[in-house]
Amino acid sequence: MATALRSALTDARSSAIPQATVRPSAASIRALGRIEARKMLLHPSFLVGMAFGLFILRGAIGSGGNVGLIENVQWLVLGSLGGLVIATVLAANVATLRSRRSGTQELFGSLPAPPETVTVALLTGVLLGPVLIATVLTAVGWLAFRSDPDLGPYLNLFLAIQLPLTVAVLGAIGIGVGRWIPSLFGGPIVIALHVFTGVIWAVPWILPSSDLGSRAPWHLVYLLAALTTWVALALARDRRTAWRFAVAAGAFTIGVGAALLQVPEGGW
Amino acid sequence: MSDGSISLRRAQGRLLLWPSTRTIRWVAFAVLACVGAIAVWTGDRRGDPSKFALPAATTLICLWLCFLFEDLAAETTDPTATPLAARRAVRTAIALPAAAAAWFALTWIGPLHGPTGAMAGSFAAEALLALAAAAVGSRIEGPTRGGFPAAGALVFVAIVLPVWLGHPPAIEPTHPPFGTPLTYWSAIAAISAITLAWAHLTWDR
Repeated sequence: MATALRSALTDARSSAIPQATVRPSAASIRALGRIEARKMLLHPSFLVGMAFGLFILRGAIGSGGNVGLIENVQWLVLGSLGGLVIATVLAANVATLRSRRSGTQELFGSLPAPPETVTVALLTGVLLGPVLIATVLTAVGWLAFRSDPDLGPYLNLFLAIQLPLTVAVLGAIGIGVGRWIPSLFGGPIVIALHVFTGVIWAVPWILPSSDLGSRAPWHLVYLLAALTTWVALALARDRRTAWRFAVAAGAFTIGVGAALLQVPEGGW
Repeated sequence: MSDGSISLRRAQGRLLLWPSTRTIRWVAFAVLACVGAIAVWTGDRRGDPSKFALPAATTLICLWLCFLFEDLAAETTDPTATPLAARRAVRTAIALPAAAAAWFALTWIGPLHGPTGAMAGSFAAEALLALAAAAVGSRIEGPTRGGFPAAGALVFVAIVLPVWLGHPPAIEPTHPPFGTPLTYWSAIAAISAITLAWAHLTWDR
């Protein structure tokens, strides 16, 4: 039996497609990243998610009567940011599942590019698409809200960094979940877990520095750790190396530590 | 319809029962039901779960029904003798009781004491809407891609519309954006049932 097992293993090894040893090239990632960004931004799930965010905010704030241009821009920016968060998770998840749903996932193994290329391109697509939009909306929101007596005092660089970083983290979650759970339910379940179960309030993604005080840097560490965890997990699906899981585990540990250090007594 | 046709459909239904059960996405259903249960349970800790958490969980369970008519083997099964409506009826007959049972269980979590009329009406209407949207979605997007647009339609009607147009914005079944709960959910159910029938009656065969 041992001989049969040994020969079976030897056969499997000799007939296996050798893994690529090269790293993904920057040129191919740039090219694929642009395509992924365009596909994400034009996907109905992204457009519909953005529209739903605006509709929900419109309902939450009411018509508001005769409001000025600044007020309209303010609510438009807020609604767009809310919708962008939902839309990014859905669009990134659907983009990750596209090759599987089209039945072409297995064919990637026959390409000369290493298997990580598509995952890194998806992450680049999130940066070039939703994160870029979040950055633009943050800049517009800064201009629109700086004179607002209620929200103006809370605007600072700390808040401005968090918005695109949160979109990047949620995009990475959408990709990571899509890589490990090959189901279209992944994205909606991530959103449902966030919105409906109260998980979002354990450590909110976006917090003003006035709520954190001296603990503010830990919130940025938490966001970066969450981003690193999901990127490492997404890449670990392509090639299950020990160091990728180690990076994911290390980043997760740092994230948990940073979360515990920023939560005030009694929770948020 | 003759007795022969009825017995033929029964035989086809019996033969389709196990393959249909096997190809339904039960893991997704279990996960969505668990997320719904967590939503209602945590909703209990934040207030009355019947106002937000249970309607959200209802939509989550109905979201699963949106993907019921996605068929990866559609190209193979389309030329078979069993009509599409009959194949889908078998899948619905298996999935709908499971969804209803899970939803019924959710209505007993925490301070909830079983379903009220408005809750049951909202679930029935949303389930019919999900099936109708799935049928229309698969006609527009193809038999393997109908679930996602159907989910969009369900979320729009069940969550976005009541928040957008409701006074006050709420997804509670007893506070629909238009009319009374009875007229609102009946109208949605009736329109969905007609759409569901139309989506199957106008097929070529």
